[in-house]
Amino acid sequence: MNESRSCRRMLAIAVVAAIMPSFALAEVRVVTTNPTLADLTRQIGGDQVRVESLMRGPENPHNVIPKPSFVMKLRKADLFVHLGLDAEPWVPNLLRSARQERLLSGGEGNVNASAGVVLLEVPSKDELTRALGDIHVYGNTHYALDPLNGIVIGRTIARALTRVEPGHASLFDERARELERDLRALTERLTGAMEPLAGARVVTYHRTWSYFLKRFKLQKLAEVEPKPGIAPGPRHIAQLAEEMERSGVGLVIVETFSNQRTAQRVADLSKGRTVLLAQEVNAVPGVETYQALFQYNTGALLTAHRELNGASTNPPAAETTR
Amino acid sequence: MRSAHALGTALAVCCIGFEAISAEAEEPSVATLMENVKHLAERVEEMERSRAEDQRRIRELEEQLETDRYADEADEASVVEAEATDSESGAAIGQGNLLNPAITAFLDMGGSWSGDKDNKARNRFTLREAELDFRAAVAPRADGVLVIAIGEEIKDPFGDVETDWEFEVEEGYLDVHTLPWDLALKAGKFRASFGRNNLLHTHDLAQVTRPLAVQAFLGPEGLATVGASLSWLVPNPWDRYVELAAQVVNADGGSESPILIGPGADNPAVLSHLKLFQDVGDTGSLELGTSFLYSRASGGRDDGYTVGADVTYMWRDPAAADFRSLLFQGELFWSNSDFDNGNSDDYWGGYVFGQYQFAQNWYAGIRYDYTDFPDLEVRRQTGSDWAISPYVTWYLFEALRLRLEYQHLDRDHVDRNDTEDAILLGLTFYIGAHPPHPYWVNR
Repeated sequence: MNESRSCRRMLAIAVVAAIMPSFALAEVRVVTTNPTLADLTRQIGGDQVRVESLMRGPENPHNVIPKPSFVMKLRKADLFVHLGLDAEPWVPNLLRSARQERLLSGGEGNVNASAGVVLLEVPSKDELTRALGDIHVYGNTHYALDPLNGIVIGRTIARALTRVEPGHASLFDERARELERDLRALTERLTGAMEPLAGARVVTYHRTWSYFLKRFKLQKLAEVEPKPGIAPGPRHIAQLAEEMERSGVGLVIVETFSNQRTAQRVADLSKGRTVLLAQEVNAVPGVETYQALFQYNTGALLTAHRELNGASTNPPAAETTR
Repeated sequence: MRSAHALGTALAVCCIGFEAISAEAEEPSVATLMENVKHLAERVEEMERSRAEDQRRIRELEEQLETDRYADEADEASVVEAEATDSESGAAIGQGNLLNPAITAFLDMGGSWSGDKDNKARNRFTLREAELDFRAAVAPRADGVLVIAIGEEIKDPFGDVETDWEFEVEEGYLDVHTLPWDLALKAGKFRASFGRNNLLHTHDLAQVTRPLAVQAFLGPEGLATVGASLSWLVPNPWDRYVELAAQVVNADGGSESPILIGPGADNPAVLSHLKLFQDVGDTGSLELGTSFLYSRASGGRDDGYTVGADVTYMWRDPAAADFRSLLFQGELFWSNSDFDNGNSDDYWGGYVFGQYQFAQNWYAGIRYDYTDFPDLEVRRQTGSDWAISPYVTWYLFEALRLRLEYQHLDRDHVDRNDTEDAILLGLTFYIGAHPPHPYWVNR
């Protein structure tokens, strides 16, 4: 079986090599909303794709201002990969302005990365109100922050690439499998490395980290934002810091698009510390791939945890119970 | 399948093995038997290995199948459909309601206190506008948009104030947004593509009031009439965004815009707008536009045309995009009318404003206004106005905004030469569906 598989692969490579000269320039042009989806597309598409992200890494995916230059990028795209759900409210108008039928919802070039992903925090009917802040009606949209969801996204991208470039189907499929193996191994390794923090409670600024925390066995004590998308007032900050001290929680996870100063104030008041994590590929320098994002984030958390417990007399967060 | 095949092979091998044993039973040397047993043991071991491998592969494939099936299902079933089937209310409400348009209601309340105490309209609270916005797809590639506005009208502000509620279809059009050759088509009543400000609804304005020049040239609430619009993304060797719009709209009635000439005008008026866009650095952008409107004769006045130019510069802090931004915008209007008696008059107006975002939810800005009055009726009595208006905007939440503006207005009219200072307040919020992001305007 392995033989036939490698035979197929060799055959595929031979076929690709044979037609390479004539199709050397026929790469699939992909535009993604964010750099994370761009990197995953690059990993599946390899040399067969040219990928560009509309959003920059540090930006807030919910608050991107769509520009006419985005329209120019979309016009030439064979595929448009986006987060789907209601994660990017700036996308629908942009797609209308691009005037490309294939990219519209339901078109062969429209790739909804959320397909097949099991969502967390899906609101019940009672929770569908702005009284609860900037809610997402389908569930938490930061699903790419679970490395195993990257597998599902990878498959979705492979299927989409196959749709527009069937000649490389086996190549895309093989790369999706490779990504799966890679991400499974990475997840196993990193969850192992995160063992010292297992069960620890943390504070996060925005509700960005639900998938990440769940995968790496961390628990959330509270959020700095009293409700998603709503800036905290001084009283909320004071109460939060008090609760953190009481519970022996010292880590405040903050994403690049949130208010660093407020996060720092919470950390100072609670004698804890902030940890700036990459919520997106390219959000912080050096995080250039999907895998690097998880390596960086787990590394930063472990370092912060060590420093905090070395420097303070608080009981280690991992061992505290409510 | 594979394991069944393997089992079959195993049985066959066993049979052959036994046959071999029985055939050699006549002279069963221990060595041969041992050889056979060893051989068989090897075969069994190999088969067990292959079976384990097969079972592992089957499990793998089953898992794959499960996730693929899940992904495929999710691909096809939209979340809305899923919601319809899993809730008992789906049947009760009726499936039809699930296709209802996205509905957003905007409420725009104002208040002003002016030094001109005689003008009651400038010294009271007003519910400037309640707006209902309906949007949904009509067909693939085509959307329907309906915007209904109900606004408070103040009659006789210098005498016995009377208020009235004015109901208006502010916009109602079919938007065929995706057509071949980079075209898009609109038909119905829509805000005319004349400059930048005119495209905005009252609740989307950057200041409390519309710029004076827009009011004087395009009407108190801007220019929106019934007609058709064709827009084209012009291909160009520099690969830049170049959009050309051509619109044919009614010139008579239905609009308070003086440059359309008014009730006696011949239909249609013709409009065009050219827009160029350029990114400046990573997070800046520059937009340039020119507009042209031509309307035909009515009594006492011959052809009239109006030319506009607009420029918009936007910048966001690359390190804190949600916290710091800059917005500069300016527009110029120039209008010319020929009269039956051979005379020709021209008028001009314009505005410029700068706005700085100094915190996540706070913006401060200042606008300068100047305008002549191209309105035939007003023109004979008036000269020009200019004004300067600093303002602060605070978004308490994404859907709730407060604005405070100070306005110094200087009138240089034939019959009135004075200044007026006023404080203006604006409270705006929306409920319902998340409104479509105003295209390239800061919040």
